[in-house]
Amino acid sequence: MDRRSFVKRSCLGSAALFLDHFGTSPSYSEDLIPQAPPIHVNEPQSTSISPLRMPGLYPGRVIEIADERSIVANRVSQPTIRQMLDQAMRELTGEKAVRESWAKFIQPRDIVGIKINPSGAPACCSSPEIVREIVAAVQSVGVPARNIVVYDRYAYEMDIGSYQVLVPSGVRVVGVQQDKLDASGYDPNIYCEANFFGEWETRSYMAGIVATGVTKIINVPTMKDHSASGVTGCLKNLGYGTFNNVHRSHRTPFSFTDPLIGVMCSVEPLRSKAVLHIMDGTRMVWHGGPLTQNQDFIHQAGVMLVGTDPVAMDTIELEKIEAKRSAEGALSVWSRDPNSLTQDGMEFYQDAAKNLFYRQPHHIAAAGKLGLGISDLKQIDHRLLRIRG
Amino acid sequence: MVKDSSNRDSTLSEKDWPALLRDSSRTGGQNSQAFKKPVGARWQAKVDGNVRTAPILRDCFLYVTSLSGYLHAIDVATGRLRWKYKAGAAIHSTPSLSNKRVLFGCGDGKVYAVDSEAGTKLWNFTTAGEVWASPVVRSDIVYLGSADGITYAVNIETGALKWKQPLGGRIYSTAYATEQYVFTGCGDGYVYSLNAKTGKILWKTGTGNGIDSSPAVVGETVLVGSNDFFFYALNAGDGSIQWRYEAGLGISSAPAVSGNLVFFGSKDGILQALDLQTGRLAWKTRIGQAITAPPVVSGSTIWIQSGIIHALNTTDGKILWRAGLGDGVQSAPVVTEDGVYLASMQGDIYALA
Repeated sequence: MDRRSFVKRSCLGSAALFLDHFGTSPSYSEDLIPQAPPIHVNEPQSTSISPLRMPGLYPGRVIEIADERSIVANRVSQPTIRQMLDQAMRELTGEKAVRESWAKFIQPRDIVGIKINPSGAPACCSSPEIVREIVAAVQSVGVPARNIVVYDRYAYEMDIGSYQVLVPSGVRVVGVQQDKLDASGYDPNIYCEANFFGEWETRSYMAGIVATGVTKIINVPTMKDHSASGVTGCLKNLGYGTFNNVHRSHRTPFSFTDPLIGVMCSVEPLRSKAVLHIMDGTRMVWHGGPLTQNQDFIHQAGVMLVGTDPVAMDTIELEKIEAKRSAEGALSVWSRDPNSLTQDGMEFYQDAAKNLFYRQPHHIAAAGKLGLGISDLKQIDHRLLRIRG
Repeated sequence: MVKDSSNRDSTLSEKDWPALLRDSSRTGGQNSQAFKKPVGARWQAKVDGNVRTAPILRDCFLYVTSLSGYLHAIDVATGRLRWKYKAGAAIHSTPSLSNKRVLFGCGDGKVYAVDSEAGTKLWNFTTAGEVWASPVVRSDIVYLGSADGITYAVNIETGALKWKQPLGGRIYSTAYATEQYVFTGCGDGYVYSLNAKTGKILWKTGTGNGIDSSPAVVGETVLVGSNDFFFYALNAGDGSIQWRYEAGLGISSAPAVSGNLVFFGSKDGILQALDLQTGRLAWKTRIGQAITAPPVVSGSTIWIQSGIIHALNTTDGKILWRAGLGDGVQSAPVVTEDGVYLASMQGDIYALA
């Protein structure tokens, strides 16, 4: 019998969330974008609020670590990743010992979910080499392999990435849904409800593995441009990778990823369980995300971002992708130029001057307004560690 | 010396297709057939659950496993379900047939043997990890790899363990068994050769990443792809590398062999044909989506499922025909004189003729 009780709250739509953003975004024509409807959230009333909940132990702190040896000829070097991760974790926590740095987030009794992003597999997805190093670190704290779960929503995308064979023995690999319509792995009591475009199903439900299956989540997003949300990083990997029925938030040329991504990340117990974020920037997709397989738009950047504040991390990611797009002569992610829009996906995947939607990079700042972290660059403690390159 | 005389059950007819890539020799389809473009669906059926595996065929039944945990027996004449058997969890394992047994691995860690006519369980064998690889039968022994990192040899009559051999990582590669040897890839990045009678490791050869491709053996050569982007030809006797070929991304697709060419897909969406002796590229064709499924050769035609089903000419890689039917990227068709049978990821089964 389910003894949990639930409470309903409402979040304001996007207009209220980004009122103070006018004037800070180039080419921003807000009147193009319809106002988002209120989003009703049904979440457990009894969830204990974790002190580690987002923005976590180190709000505003982002460790960027770079090593050109981390990816060579499109292959990720696990020994180099190990060095990078060790150094970044020590820098993040101030601990001298790597194990102690992990122990700030993970205890031996935890059931640890490693939330990967396989949506761009095989060209750009969370590197198995990084996942393996995270597994080793979690085990070093005393968590047995059977209590570590590598998961994502879509089993078939994980299959393409071969995660089953590439992670260490004993670790579970779980895809929440077997196809696009499979809803069996979701908790019917925890949901976000909004009617964006008159869709028949207005709810998005939280994955059961997040609601009850794990006690901590380590988020491993990739560094990618996104046709609807501007970029996909910590926030989108968590929000849209936890709730189902999210594609309904886009309808060409509009997208309500702002504010839906942030609202989803604010729902308990997701917010409390996501204690650490390790962004895989060994490959950076600067156009065509999230699904592109076009290597012309995938830069082997050799970078990782580490932190507990997903808003600060995504803000840095956004800066890096926007800078790369600018250097490549691509359209700004902030562009609202109607002439850039196309409904031809193939054209979008070949042309960095094209958009499928009016992108919503402001979803990051909107998430900050919900208390999930810091989006003001001046307040972000961005520490760049460069091992080589 | 790899003794591999007739790797085919003597009770099978030429039309039967009892295992992944037709039979345990895994050379692909039924030779000598000229390409015949299908003109329509003879029937279409729906099985219970999504399908990530290849169908197999014997006599008048097509056997299909699904993620809802069912093994289905479908009448090939009508497309009607004859029976279905429910296992304990999702099935990612392509079944294989031996005499009147259908064998398949399961997400519950078991390998099941089911009566091919009655649809009743004969025995099961339990491992400590999920079994996605296909069981391989040779000389009344079933060889199987499990995600628990162990290769097992099991008596086909009883399901009793004959031997087991721990390897260095998870096993999702379907083994290739000869009278003397068992070859398999492993998640630790090694290709292993085991003594078929005892399970003793005879040699292991490292690649740069985990292996979920299933090896094929031709003469003295073991052929297998790795997630390190390379396709390898290894000496079956000592594991030394004869040649290797670099693809654009990782290789999960099992190879098929026909004549002097070996065919495999890579995750960058390219289907390659290499010279068996030298590893030199004969041709490559961009199919589109990531290829993880094995190709199937039938006469001068090669078939591959990658989002849609493609038929190509084996000699030059030219696309002869394609159709947006089966979107099951991990499935492979059964190609016979009477038609082509294939499964889509959504659980639709097609008989094309």
